[in-house]
Amino acid sequence: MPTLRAAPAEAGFKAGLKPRIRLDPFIFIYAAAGAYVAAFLVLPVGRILAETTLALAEAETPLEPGFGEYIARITWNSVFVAGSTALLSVGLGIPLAFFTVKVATPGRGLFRVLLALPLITPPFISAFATILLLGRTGVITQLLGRVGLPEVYIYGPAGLILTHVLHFTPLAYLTVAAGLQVVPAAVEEAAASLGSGTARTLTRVVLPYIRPRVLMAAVLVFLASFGDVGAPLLLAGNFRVLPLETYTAFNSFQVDRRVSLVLASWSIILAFLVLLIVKRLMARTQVSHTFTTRTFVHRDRPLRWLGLGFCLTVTGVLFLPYVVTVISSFGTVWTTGLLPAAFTLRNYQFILTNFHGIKNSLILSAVATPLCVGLAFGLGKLFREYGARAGWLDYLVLLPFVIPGVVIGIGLVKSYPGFQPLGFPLLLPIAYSVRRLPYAVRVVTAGYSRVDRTLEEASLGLGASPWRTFWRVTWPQLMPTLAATSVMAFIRIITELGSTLIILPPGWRTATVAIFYYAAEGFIGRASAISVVLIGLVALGSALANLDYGRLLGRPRARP
Amino acid sequence: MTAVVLEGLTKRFGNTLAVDNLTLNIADGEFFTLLGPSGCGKTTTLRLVAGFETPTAGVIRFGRRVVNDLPPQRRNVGMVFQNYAVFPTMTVFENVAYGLEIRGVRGKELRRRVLSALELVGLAGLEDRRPDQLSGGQLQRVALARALVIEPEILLLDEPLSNLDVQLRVSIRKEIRRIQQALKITTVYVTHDQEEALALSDRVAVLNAGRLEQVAPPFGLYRFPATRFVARFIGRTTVLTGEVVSARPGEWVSIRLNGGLLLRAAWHRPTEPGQRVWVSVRPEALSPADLPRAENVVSGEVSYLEFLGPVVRGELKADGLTEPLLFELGRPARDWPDWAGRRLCLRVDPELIAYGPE
Repeated sequence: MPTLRAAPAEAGFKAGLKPRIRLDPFIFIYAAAGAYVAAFLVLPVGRILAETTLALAEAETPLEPGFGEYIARITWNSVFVAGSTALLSVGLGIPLAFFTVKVATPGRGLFRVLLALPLITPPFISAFATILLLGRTGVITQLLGRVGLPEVYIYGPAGLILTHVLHFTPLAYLTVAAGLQVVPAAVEEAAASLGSGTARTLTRVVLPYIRPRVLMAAVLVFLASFGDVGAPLLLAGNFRVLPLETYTAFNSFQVDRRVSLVLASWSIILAFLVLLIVKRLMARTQVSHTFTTRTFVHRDRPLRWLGLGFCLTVTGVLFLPYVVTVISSFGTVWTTGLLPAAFTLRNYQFILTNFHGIKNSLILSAVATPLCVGLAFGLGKLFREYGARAGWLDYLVLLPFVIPGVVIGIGLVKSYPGFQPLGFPLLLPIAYSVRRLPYAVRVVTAGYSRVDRTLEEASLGLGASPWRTFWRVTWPQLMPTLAATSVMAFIRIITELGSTLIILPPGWRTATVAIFYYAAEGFIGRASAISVVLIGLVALGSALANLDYGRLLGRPRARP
Repeated sequence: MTAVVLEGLTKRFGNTLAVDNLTLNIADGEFFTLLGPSGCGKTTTLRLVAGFETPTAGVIRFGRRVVNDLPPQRRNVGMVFQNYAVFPTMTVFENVAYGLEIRGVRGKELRRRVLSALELVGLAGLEDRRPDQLSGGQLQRVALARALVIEPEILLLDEPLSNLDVQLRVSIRKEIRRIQQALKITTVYVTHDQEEALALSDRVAVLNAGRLEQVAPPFGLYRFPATRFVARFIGRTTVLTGEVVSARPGEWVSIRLNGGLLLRAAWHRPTEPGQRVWVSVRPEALSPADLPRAENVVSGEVSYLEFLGPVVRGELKADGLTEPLLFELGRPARDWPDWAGRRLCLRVDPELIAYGPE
């Protein structure tokens, strides 16, 4: 009988499979990605810090007296708004997550979809809607007036916090919900079998289990609120916050030119501090669990109905801004009634004939998206191969997430003044690609981690080069990730405002800036109509992102 | 101290019948094991007893109380999970104290009981550790202490050893048995590992596809399997098919196997001539024979042989049989018996043959 004999180990080498020391062809890709990050993220940020130091050192006149107090005041204002927003959003997000994940609330699947929607729109649309609702002539202000209640003064911290809570609660919700989904059923069942009721299990076992997630939610909301310039532009009034002051100081010719530099540097330092604190907190509260199983779902009737009531109310309130934006986009003037004076399609006709805002946004996003996605894939591969040794780069790539867009814009403009190859404002797409890099890298890293290492090792073991292994084994499995990342990057890019306001070259007004100008100039209907078109675009994008690309590409779906 | 009674217990998930009309009587203080391959319904049965699932039909009783509609937190059962389910945010002490606090135990009494539970499972001195500082074996002991400290009426263990390595499995297995014997607590144990089931249990129920195949003490299960499935599932064996030629109740049964060989087995269950039966021949039932033509002697070619230290194990392609016969011979000669490919005569001990109707 013929037997399969194991070949001696040397046979493979004799047959020409001797491993040679070869240059990893990906080195060039890593180098390109690294250079891009260095040129368009590290250099601009470094330049702001360096210029600030120089300007302060060489200055013959000191900064205005009281400048320190001024910085302390606007920093406190920013921290106050961001902190309150974070507290309130997480406070709303936890019960929302509990009722849609842990309780069999009727329609909880629908609530989960609805609650993710506000995330895709830019916050200044929410700010704009807040004016429509609660401004001098807002719908709610009028209703309050009819029952004899005073109006809420929204131009200041109250309006800002309200807008940000309405806008960022979904972010807190999704982060907490994702945590609740991985609490293993066994942990809650163990508590139940020990005699623990719903409330006790929730407070003593479940919430401590997801503490890092809750903390993460608070940090995400804090940073998003802290770095936002759109809502303050429309709503801050005399209440000064850091990104807005940086922007106005940069654009104004009357203010000492050092002010914008100092404010930008200060934002960068604060960002580093926040990042540092977050890393510490996360490390301390990290819960290690190595298994995921089913989750435990409560089915008691009273709890389900309570959940329905709560979810309906909160979702309703969160959607009010979008409802008024849509109504207003079809209205003429809307000042004294509960509805606009008359309905019309003129606003949409106007945008169609003055299409350049949306067209510019589409062109710039179309250039920025491949830059951002390509960069994310290169960096993702680098992190996968070099893991811990590339940790500092990982940290660096997180920076655009914590540094306000306005500051990144200032750094780029200062580093590359007048950079317009072939008359195209390439600096804008570059700014976008850097700004949205943290999101893209996160999605790509998740995608890479789903590719089984042993498949690549099997390919290498069969004698394939790293290059061939990547294209034949890894890349085909990354197709869904490519699609998801592209769409996600696109919708994040098209709604960017902070760096756009700074860089904005003449003739390249984007849709976001157009909304902003129309709103400021009182063309509420037009601003609403562009907002609706923009929301429509990003909603379309998200719908595309949720398609099953494996199926579309004709691959059989993986069965669990 | 409580007996557990399941009557016609059925659980349906959509179109699959996870547990199919199961009736069991588990005695007070008994160590009872549910054994079966994965997907046989053993874990579902345990979860029904714990109250995490509600039965589609049937009754669960603890003593005389029907507990069908009692939520898990009011059943007073102690459960140990496969993944330990030790609360990662609490220390060992807090984990074990959790159930006692719910029962209103406070202060010195709480401390005394938690420490004595930890002492019982061999974790004294580790009460301030956090779960991520413990090994798998220690985590499982915490889970056991946490389940025992509330003095449950019934202890439920869901494959508690399957995430541990082999040596640890054996030592914790001994611990579990020792503690169960000391506390005399009614215990339901779920496992797919037959060795574990045989080593630990007073009685074992073998489940297959949601149905009960047999309930018996470990020896009875091994020696007198009730069905072909149980014979195959417990231990190593060759299962053959044949027809009863003659029988003398209480003494012997003669069976003509497919392939023509006639085998005589000790009578252990009613049967009559003409009945189709399965026949299980354990490897240790075979011993070297000198006379090829004697009763219950099979001869054939050794088609496979492996040396395992105390025994040699092999397969015999015997004349008059359709399937190779597994054999295991102890105390090998001074030298390695190189029987591979050689002809061999083996005698089958009639006392070690089991049979049952097809």
